[in-house]
Amino acid sequence: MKAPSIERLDEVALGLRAHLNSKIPAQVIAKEDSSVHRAIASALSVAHGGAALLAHLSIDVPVNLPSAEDYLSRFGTTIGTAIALPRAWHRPEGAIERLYVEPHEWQHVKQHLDGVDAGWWPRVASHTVLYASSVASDEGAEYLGKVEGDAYAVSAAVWAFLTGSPPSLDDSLASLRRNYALRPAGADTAAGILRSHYRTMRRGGVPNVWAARESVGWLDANAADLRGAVAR
Amino acid sequence: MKRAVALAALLFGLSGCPDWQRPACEQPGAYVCRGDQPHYCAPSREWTPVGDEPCSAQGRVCAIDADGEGFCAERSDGGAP
Repeated sequence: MKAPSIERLDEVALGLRAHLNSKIPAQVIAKEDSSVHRAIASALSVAHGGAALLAHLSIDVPVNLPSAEDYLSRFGTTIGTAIALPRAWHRPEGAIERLYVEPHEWQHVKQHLDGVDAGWWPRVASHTVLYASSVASDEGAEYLGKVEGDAYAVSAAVWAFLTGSPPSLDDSLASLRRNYALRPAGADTAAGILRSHYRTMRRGGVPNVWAARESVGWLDANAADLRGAVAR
Repeated sequence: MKRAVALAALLFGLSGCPDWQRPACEQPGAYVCRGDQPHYCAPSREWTPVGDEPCSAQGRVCAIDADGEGFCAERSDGGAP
């Protein structure tokens, strides 16, 4: 099978973005242009500096955080309804990254808008505060494991459409643990969520996650030529 | 956005960690179908929903496999709903 052109991949990535945006409006921005994300990158630099200093004193800090450069150039991040992607991914050559990551991030926008019951906290703030509390509480870690497990399933479903099969469950779980410094309760919850989604996919289904259903449905209808056409 | 993040941080600092309200379960690691959606019993012993839609949104049905794992099955899949 002939590999799809960059132009075709870019066209499909933009079409899928327009579709998701028509269902749940969001803003897709360049991460490096965002003052909030630059501030987070600066905080990561300070944290790494502190960890390096403690390492000199033979004190190991068991937290795996991305470097400031990696945070800006290798990760998509969603805050509220703003999806921030590395600038390089906005070019046509970044279409594969956008196809893989944008539906995942759109699921986070939906999670933010849906919210959950978090006691007296207003629903509109519940996603953000529970997500932020994941480093300090098992309750938050389980929430992060759940929402990332669902979002990883979205990426896995799109990957399965494009390449013919999803990434292995072990690879997805390892990536999740590595990228989010999950506490054990969060890692267990993420594994429980992802195992279920992978079983659904192995039985020929699409994960019961909004962005997975919308994305695979749109790709089926508008980009059937890409089904299984992308090299892993 | 910056003000909202600052407000959330302030409220968070003043109130302690939020409590995610979920139904209680007894056996961590178990699955169950609730509202045609798989749920996972998390380490905190609370039922945690898998996904955000019922399986019927894609013409499937929640089922528990022979090994106890919950998923969205084809309607003719034979899993016990």
